[in-house]
Order: sequence, then structure tokens, then C-alpha cells
Amino acid sequence: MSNFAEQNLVRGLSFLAERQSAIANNLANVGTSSFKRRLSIADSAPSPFQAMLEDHDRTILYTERSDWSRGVVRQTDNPFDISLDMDAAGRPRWMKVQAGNGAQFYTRNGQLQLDSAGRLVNAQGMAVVDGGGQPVQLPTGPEAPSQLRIANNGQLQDPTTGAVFGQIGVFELDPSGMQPVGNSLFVDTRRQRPQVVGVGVQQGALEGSNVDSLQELVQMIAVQRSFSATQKALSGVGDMQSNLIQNILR
Amino acid sequence: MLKSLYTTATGMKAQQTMVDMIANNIANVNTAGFKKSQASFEDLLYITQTAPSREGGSPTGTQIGSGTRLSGTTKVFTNGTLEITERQLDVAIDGDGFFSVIMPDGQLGYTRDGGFHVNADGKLVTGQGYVLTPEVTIPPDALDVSIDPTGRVAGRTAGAPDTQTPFGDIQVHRFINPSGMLAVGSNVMRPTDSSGTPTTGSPGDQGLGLLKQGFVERSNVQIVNELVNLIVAQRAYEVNSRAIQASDQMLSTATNISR
Repeated sequence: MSNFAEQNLVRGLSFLAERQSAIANNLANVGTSSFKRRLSIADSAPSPFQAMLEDHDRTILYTERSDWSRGVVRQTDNPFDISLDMDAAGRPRWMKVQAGNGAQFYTRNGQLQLDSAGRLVNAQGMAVVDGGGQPVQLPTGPEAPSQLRIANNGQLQDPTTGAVFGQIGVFELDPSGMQPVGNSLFVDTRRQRPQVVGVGVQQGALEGSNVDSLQELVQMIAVQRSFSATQKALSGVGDMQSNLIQNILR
Repeated sequence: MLKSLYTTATGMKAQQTMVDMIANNIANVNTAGFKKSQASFEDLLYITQTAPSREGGSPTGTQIGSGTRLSGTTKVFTNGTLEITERQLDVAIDGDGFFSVIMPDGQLGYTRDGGFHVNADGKLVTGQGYVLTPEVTIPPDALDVSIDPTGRVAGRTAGAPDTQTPFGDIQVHRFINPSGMLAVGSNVMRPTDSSGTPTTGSPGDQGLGLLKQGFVERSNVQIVNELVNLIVAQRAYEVNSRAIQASDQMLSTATNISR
């Protein structure tokens, strides 16, 4: 006897458990700056049902992708906080940071600081780079500016003298290949050549998470109900089999 | 078992830290020279179950996140409001900079709390008795003390009531990255590798702030903002605990399969 139904119901249960994990991760990151919500999507298998029955094909294809919409931007008045806006097509703009080993990542988390060498760094100490991929550097010691202004084009300026020290690179690219790697960092798995645009930086503001906890809660309830229903169906299949054994095969 | 249980636990922990930080900000709403802290969070590692592929398979792959963690706390060095006290030895820095003091262990500490006092030796000290450096000594027969915006301390004495006798100079110090300093309590911060070495000068020089006698700098905590943050953190805590309940119920449903 084919256990096609059982196999697929179990697959359904594990898909729902994964979905619950994705929702839990979104909820855990409701306070993470520039966090992008992860959507889990179940596609039914592309082949027709009859073919599926015969080939014992998978019925659920499970994928995850990021929701690129912008999080709520809040004013912090900290001169080292910046937020990036979206491009004309509503896709996120990015800045790039460079780790100690030279690896570069995309990020939208604009909680920046200066390190002792005067480089502009993120919370992990990775240097923010300019459009050419070089770390953005401020002078140190007596030449260090007393105030920092970051213009809309990403230029670092001393408002008292008007001196310009460098420019934060702002990049545009198709986000479909972007994968989160933690620490608010992303890598572009499609290795595109990003377009450098000198626009879209807002100083003294931070982009929050784009997770809407109400929406996640509603989805969580749906997942919970589906989980119970799938479990019921699974015990139904079990009942059918025991019926078969008890009544027909006796 | 269900990964979501551990994931949401990280969320609850993060929100708890957030509430701790807000509580400290609110508690210091009346602390002179206090700078509010801001917590920042980041997402944890992702577990890649299916790598994204170019042709055939899924273009986005399957990656499940593991929650959130505190990536750091930043002190925000915006200026607090200057409040008039008319006390001779209250000095506020209007702009950038810190006073430096000698801590009991001999190390230098930096503070923006300019509510000074005179100790038994006539030296200017902070409220905790840390001696301001370079030292400014007020003679025992001083009649009054005036501190000008550029840090010159002078005054009339009983010996020379008609002339201004100089008592010393107050210097201020600036860090390129004040957020990198270590707060050690008592309104004092210590420099670290990240904050860099200070630039020292007279008030008003090289972009340093000017002094204002008879003023204290209040805390830069905005109570309304903190309360709003508190509400947000509390709700986020609640919603995470709700996710734990849901995961728990799913587990209990799963256990019922074998009945």
C-alpha cells in the first residue's frame, strides 16, 4: 500500500514547523535596525497531480525570500547614525562594509562609529567603503573635525570649515540575489556589478526593522491551525489503515 | 526540536536588555552631564538549508535565521540643555569637549559634569572629590571666582580686592569618537583604543566648546522618547512570548500524532 499521503502530510508538518521558525525569527528581530523580514513561501509542485502520484514527487516546494520594503525611519539625532533611502524602483540602496580579511558585505544598518584610526566603522568594526571600495577615513589628532556632517550624497564634511573628508559609497543593485548572513549584513550571490549613486543618505536617523508584529501574529495563528489540521489528517490516514487491517484483512 | 522556541527566546532577551537600558536612561533624567545610551541589535547567523541556484532549483533558496542579539550600546553625545544655577563653581561646556579629572587610582577620567567644589587644599574638584586637571587652586582668601568662556579662572582676593588675580586655567579635551569611551559611573568616562587619544586645548580653540559659568548641563534624555521606546520594547517582548506559546502548542499537537 502506498504511503504517499502519509509522506506528504509529514512533509507538510515539517514545512509548517519551518514557517513557524521563520515567523519566530522575524518577531525576534522586531527591534533590529534595518532588518528585512523573511517570507516563507510554499509552492505546490509544478507537475500535475496524477504525475505526482505516479512519480512520488514532492508536493511542496519551500522557499524563503526577503521583503525589501523600508522599515520605519526614526530620528536619533546622533550624527553617526545614517539611514539610506530607496531607489526610484522602490528597491533598497546599500552601503558596503569591509571586514578585516578584505571581504565586503552590503548593509543598510547605519549605526556607525569611528575607530581609533579615524575610519568610519559599523558595530562589528568593519570599515565603511566609498564608491571605489576604499575605507572612508577621517583625519585624527588635532585635524580631527569637531563636528561631522554627512550630506545627502554621502560626503563627510566639517560644517565649521567646509572641509570634505570622503564619501560613503551608496550602491544600487537588483536585490533578488541578496542573502542575509547575520549581523545585518548581506552578500550578493549573483555577484552583480553595483551601480554607484551619490544620493540617498540621511544623517541622524536610523531605519528600524520592517517586521509588522501584527501581521506575523496573524500568520502564526494560521500556521498553528494548519499544523493541527495536518496532524488530524495524518491520524485519519492512520485510522484508515488500522480499519483496513482490522476489517478487511481479518 | 522546534527551532522557533530558541529563536524567540533570543528576541525576549534582546527586549529585556532594551528595557534595562531605557530604565537606566530614565533613572538618569536629572543627572548633570548624563548622556543617554542607545542599544543596537543585529540578526544572528542564518542556517542555509538550500543554497540559491541559478537554474532549475529555487532562485532564493531556503535560509532560516536564528534570532537576534545585542551588537552594542552607544552613548549619544548630543548636548543636554544648559540650566542656569547662578552658582559660581557650576561650569557647563557649551559645545564639544570634556573636563579631565584624576581618578583615585591615578588614571585620567573625563566628565561633562561641571558642578565643581573646592576641597580642603583649595583645589577645584568634582562632586565625587576627583581633582580637576590641570589643577586650579582657589586661595583661601578669595572673595569671588569668575570663569570666562575660554577657561581663565580669576577673582578678587582679600589681599587685592581691586584687581583680578588669576587662579589657573581650565582646559577641555575632545575625542574623535566619544561613543567609544568607557562609562565607569559617577558621570566619568575613560578613554579606550576606540575613542582615540584626546585633543586638548583651551575652550573655544579647535572647535572645542566654550565654558559657561553659572550653568549646569542637564541630561540629554528625552523622557517622552524613552517612554515611547519602553512601550515598543514591552510590546515586542509580549509578541515574542506569544510566539513561544504557539511553538509550544505545535509541539504538543505533534506529540498527539502517535496516539
